[in-house]
Amino acid sequence: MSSTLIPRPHRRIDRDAVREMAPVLLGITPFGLLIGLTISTHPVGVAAGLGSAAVYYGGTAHLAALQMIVAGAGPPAVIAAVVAINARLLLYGAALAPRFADQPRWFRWAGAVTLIDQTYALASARPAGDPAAFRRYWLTLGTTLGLGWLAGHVVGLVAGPVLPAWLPLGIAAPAVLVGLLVPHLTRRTGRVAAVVGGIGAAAAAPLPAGVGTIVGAVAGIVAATVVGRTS
Amino acid sequence: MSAAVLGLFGGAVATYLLRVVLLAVVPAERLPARVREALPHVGPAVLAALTVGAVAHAPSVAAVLALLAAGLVARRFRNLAAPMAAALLVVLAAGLLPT
Repeated sequence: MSSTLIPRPHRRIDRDAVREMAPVLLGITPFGLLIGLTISTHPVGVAAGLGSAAVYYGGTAHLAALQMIVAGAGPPAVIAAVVAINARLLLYGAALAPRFADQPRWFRWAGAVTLIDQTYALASARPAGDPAAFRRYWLTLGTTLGLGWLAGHVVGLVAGPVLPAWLPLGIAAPAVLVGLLVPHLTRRTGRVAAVVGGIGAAAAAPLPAGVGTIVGAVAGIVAATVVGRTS
Repeated sequence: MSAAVLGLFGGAVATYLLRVVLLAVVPAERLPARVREALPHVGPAVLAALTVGAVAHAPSVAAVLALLAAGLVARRFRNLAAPMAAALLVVLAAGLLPT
């Protein structure tokens, strides 16, 4: 039988997605370790801490919620802070909506779980194409990030207490964000959005957690839109 | 269920709702034209705001230099491990300097 008659096995894993996500995982691992370390001594317990990590699928809001609970905040305050911190996900959802519009219903509901800074940045940098290819790419991207992210939590739970204190792990996550930002700066509107967004976030930093990010982001988006119209 | 667990998982559910509303509930074509016009600028604006927000609460010369180094390295190398390594090295080096 000719080999051309034998169908190729359906490839379920997008290798590009794994290759692109691997260095991102390196960057966010210290953050995952930190959250694992926080969970190890948290009053909600390890099961609730790790279980909620899978749904939060992101560190900033999860860490803020864990810290607020320790500080005595009630559920309404915790939820309000989480919404403020994660309001940017609405913007990501709006930006990726055209890629999800032609997808099956199950994917639109399940794929939303893995919408976060890193998956958004990588997926939005790819040209729009075949819906099935995007689906495979997105699922591989999200699964790779999720497994690595949760593995970081588990390592933090187990090994966090013995990590050397001099290791500057806190700078790793912002450095990865810079790495994700730089490719957007080739266009003038991208530079305007970044500069105004950064200045806005710095000016609004004294506001409650997450609000400064939203203020800066909205300022950057509006400024870049105005510049885009005039140029 | 304790208030702590309720708050923790309430935040998780709220996060999922923020993700899914524009991906599965409101069709993309119903988005106003002005919103669609602004969408390409979401990435750089939010990433810059997140980066600044991550260091703004405890700003230091070492952190700013580390992120500048990360940016310069990211322009040269597409691998995201490179800017992270550059930033870590700058902070470590800054820690070795006499104060």
